[in-house]
Amino acid sequence: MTSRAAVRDVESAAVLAAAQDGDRAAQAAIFEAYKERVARQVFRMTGDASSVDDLVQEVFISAFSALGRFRGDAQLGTWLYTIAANRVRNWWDSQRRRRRREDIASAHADDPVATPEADLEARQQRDHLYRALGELPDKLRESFVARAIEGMNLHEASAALGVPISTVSYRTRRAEQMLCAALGIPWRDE
Amino acid sequence: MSPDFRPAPGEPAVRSPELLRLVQAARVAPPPVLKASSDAVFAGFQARRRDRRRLVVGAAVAVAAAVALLWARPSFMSSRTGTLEPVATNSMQAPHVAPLPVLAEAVRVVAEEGPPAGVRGEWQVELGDGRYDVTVAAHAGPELLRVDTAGGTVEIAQGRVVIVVAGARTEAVLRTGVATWIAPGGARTPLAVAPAEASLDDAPDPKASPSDLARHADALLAAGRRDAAIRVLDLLVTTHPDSPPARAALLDLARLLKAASRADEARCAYALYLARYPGKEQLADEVEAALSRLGPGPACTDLRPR
Repeated sequence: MTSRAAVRDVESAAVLAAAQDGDRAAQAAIFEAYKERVARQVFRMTGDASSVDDLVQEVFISAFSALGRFRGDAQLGTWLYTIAANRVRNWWDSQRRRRRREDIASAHADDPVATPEADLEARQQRDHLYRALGELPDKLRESFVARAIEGMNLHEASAALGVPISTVSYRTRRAEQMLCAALGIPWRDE
Repeated sequence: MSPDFRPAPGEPAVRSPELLRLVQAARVAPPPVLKASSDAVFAGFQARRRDRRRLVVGAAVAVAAAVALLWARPSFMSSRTGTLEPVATNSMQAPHVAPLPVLAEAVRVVAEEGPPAGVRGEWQVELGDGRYDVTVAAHAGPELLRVDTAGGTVEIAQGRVVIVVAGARTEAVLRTGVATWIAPGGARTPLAVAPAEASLDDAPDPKASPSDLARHADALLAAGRRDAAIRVLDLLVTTHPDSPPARAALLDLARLLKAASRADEARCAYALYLARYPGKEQLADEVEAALSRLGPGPACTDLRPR
């Protein structure tokens, strides 16, 4: 779990500067403070447990390489969220291009699964949702994941995604509408 | 994107109860146990920093070479007529030109179809659309051959890999040895040695499911049988047009037809994709761009040019 004190410590200018210079201990401190948060975000954005390790690693390598551009006007966590969102966007791109998603889905369908029935049902529901999420345009998917799956309120999602609150709201509703259509769920715009 | 749209304060993220059930299943899923370590991140950071430095040094050398070339002013550049005049030069005074990179002795790349491989360094090549037979003989050093394609990278320690590139799609079949597939996102997958080609049947089972047909086409493509793969994909998109794999299959079919220089059929496949999946999304833009690059052609009836 990320403690507030640990986060405050690693956000100090001295630690950030040392990490940017390639100080191993400073980088390790930042990694340890944020790794779980980034892993949870990546998993919720992709739904693919097997890609989390690689993506988390990529996020931190990119972040340490670009720390010079972090000006401290946002929280480090928010900045990392943006980097992770970009990496995940590339991931979805490559998934679409290489058609892996369908292969994985059909491979899962063929797998003999020895989990309890409730787990199996939950996994199938997640698979359905993420398959449909993969078909959404990036911006709609990111808003929906931030609001619906990450559980952010409109202000938090607006800050994390760097777009106005009204845009987050619109994109989330549009994403819900498209997801309902893709999943054969009736859409009620109240 | 959102003109005149005012969110209600505290509005719910999801309104549909059915969708909310799926979302909750995703929300409560525990994230996997993270195996990435700060050591691995640090090693990746160092490697990236090294690459950047090399890039900067390379750019500086290129600029210096360009300046030196201008300063040396070879005779054709100072010609008053402005025409290129071949002039014999003393080898001592000839401007220095960096030698073209040459592949390491242990590496052999044969272009069976498509343009020759571009050599980027002793241990690095870049492949265009086509079929390539790449061999890395056993060698003493730790070097790995890096084979870059539009769809990803193959890293070969030693052995033989057949690589088929069609647009952004790359299939690598390891015949012998040790190699790794590196996806554009950086994910690494060790390649397994493929079974012999003889077991692959060109003719698809007419009762095969759409997913089976898609896998069959992949296997044919990986074995370098592009025409057979085209026939299977054609069958898939024609006989199972509403199946989930049909969409990706139609796009693959168009790319393969284009790579096979069957422009009219490729045009029809792209046009059929836009007709079947008219939603504006990223891939639609890509398809429209591919279609315009192909230029005008005969009208189509589904997949066939008239």
